Amino acid sequence: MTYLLPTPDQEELLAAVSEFLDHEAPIERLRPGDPERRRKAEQDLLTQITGLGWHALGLPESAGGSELAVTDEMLFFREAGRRLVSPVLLATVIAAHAALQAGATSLASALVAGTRRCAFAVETTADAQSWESAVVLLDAAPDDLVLVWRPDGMALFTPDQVIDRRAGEGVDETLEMSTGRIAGEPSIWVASNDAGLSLRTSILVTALLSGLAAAVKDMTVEYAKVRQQFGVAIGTFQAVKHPCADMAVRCEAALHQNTFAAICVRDGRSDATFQTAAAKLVATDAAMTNASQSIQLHGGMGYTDECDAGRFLKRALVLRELAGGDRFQRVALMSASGPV
Amino acid sequence: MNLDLSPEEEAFRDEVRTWLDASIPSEPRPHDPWQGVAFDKAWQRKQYDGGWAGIAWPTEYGGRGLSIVQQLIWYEEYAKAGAPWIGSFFVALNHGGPTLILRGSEEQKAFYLPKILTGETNWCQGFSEPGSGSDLASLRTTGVIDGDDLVVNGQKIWTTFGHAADFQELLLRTDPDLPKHKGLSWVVCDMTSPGITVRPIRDIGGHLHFAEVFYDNVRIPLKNVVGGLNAGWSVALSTLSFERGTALTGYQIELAREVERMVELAGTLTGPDGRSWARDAEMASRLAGLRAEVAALRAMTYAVISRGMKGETPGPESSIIALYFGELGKKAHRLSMDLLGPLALMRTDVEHDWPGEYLAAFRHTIAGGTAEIRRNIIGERVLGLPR
Repeated sequence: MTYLLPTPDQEELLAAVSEFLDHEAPIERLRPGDPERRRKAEQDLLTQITGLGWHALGLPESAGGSELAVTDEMLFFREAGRRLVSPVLLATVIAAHAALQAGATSLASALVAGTRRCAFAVETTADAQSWESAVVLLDAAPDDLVLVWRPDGMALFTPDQVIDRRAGEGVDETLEMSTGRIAGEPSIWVASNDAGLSLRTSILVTALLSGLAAAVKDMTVEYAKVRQQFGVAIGTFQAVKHPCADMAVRCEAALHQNTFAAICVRDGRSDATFQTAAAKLVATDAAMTNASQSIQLHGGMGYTDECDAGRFLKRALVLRELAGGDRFQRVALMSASGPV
Repeated sequence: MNLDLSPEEEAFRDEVRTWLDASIPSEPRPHDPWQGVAFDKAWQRKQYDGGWAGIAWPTEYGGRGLSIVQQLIWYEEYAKAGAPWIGSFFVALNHGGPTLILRGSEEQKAFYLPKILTGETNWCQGFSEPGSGSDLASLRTTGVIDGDDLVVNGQKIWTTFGHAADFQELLLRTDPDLPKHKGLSWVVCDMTSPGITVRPIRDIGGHLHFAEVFYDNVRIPLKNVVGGLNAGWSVALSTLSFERGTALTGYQIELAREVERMVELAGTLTGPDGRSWARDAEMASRLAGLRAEVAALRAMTYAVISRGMKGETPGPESSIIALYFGELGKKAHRLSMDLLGPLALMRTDVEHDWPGEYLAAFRHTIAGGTAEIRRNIIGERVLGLPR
């Protein structure tokens, strides 16, 4: 039966996740301060989440998961996206899926238990024939495994397979970003079939983007209700109200298309690739445009490092490059088999 | 969260397909405003006789009493099969009828609803006035009680199919002393009543779909008031909420088909440099963006349907999908003009009147509430921003 909304069970899960993250992961935690303290606080957050098992919703019980589906994982990662939780959490979950599919059960268990971590590496040079690519590492600790997304599969590398590592200043300073090069063949390679791990990763990155878009919309709407100019709340003005409405529209599109695509991936439908590409494009636009709009509506404050609006935008810049950027998704959308 | 159809729903879909394949009129809907309406009535009658009218309407009034998902399946298959535009039955099937189902008396429902489903009567809408567009509640057409009747004087505008509708959902000021939202009544007006003059208005695309309607001492029985005297604003809002939700499903599916036709066109047409449009990076990127948004529109429609299944009545959030649809439709049809270039200069001699569709798309950010009003509704009633 066609139904795109959360079930009562899922609602309950969402409420628990929201309550926890509202308390433990307020966006203010990412404000400028001692980077070392921030790193430690984020690691503590990941440890807590791992302890609660929410990251492992979609993994089998034998690996310490809840045996739920990508549609449930999506709900959790959407909430994580709202609070700009480090993408290490998603990379670790996908690495656990990959390890399990490759039969590396003890590694999978360590990833689920939180004793091993994994970070995304975004390839900046494109060569489908070779693994020797230049990469940007997202929030990687020195001993983290490294995960590379390819449309035809997911590749896992050991920490020593990333050479020439150089710390640098990344676009999102709330993440530790560094560059490096991949050396050698992946220690684990999981090829994707039609509804495989690559699509699952895209769905969950899309969930992060969709959550981000919603959070920055909410923040902006609240600001428009309290910020006064000309003696009234600025949300009274249509020049402010209408962009807020447009933000809400983008959120709605991103949310429901993400769900639609997640169902297609879960059920192995022939349009899974098409729907996933559509979802990623729509959510990227929602995240980027809403964050940009938020900066504008915050006025002078929006342009400062003290305002969170910029942090949403910078995280959106990072996330959109994960699991296939806009250009990749457009090509996918024009070549994949169309809607069922 | 699910996209599967149940075995019963699949069987229903197959049944719909089979019937549509065999029953869709072979001749296209006539452009002539009178012949078009006659065509609509015959086609509605045929659907009724086939057992396909009012799929989600209660059985006691001639409907099938089926689920909203089955209604969606019907719309999807209807569009896929290339069945005729709903034409002059849009208001009856998507506004007037559903409003009566929600707010009408037993007597009103028993009288009007079956006549709609059998194709006997179509409806038009009398809400907007020359001085009351976005500020609808300021309307000034009056209904004064005289015995058992309301005596109506004033003028309505943008009345789609006003020239050939049997009944009209008419919003009147019945108490000028109450605040503007409080003194209105929603009544059913028989369009053959003495004192009504209809002046058709040609639309931007050259069609005679809508009209001005003048009322000169028109008598409407008080029993035609729906939802109670001076309760018209809340009755009208239930209609408008309906329009902003599922009523767009058919249009949404049609838009998806048009975008796919544009993708096909891009593969066959060449640009000024002699290369296929599909090889033009900017055009390919725009088409991909359209496809993505059309996919999202469908997902949003499914979400609306899902809320309906939860038993929620459409509220202000229906404006979200209506706004998305309207803006997307305009964007898509602008692309068709860019794609066709000089081929868009003639409306005839092409397999499809793309320029006409482009012009028609402008209505979707105006009719039933402008995009600006929809943004106000979303801002104030969904997001809670101050007025």
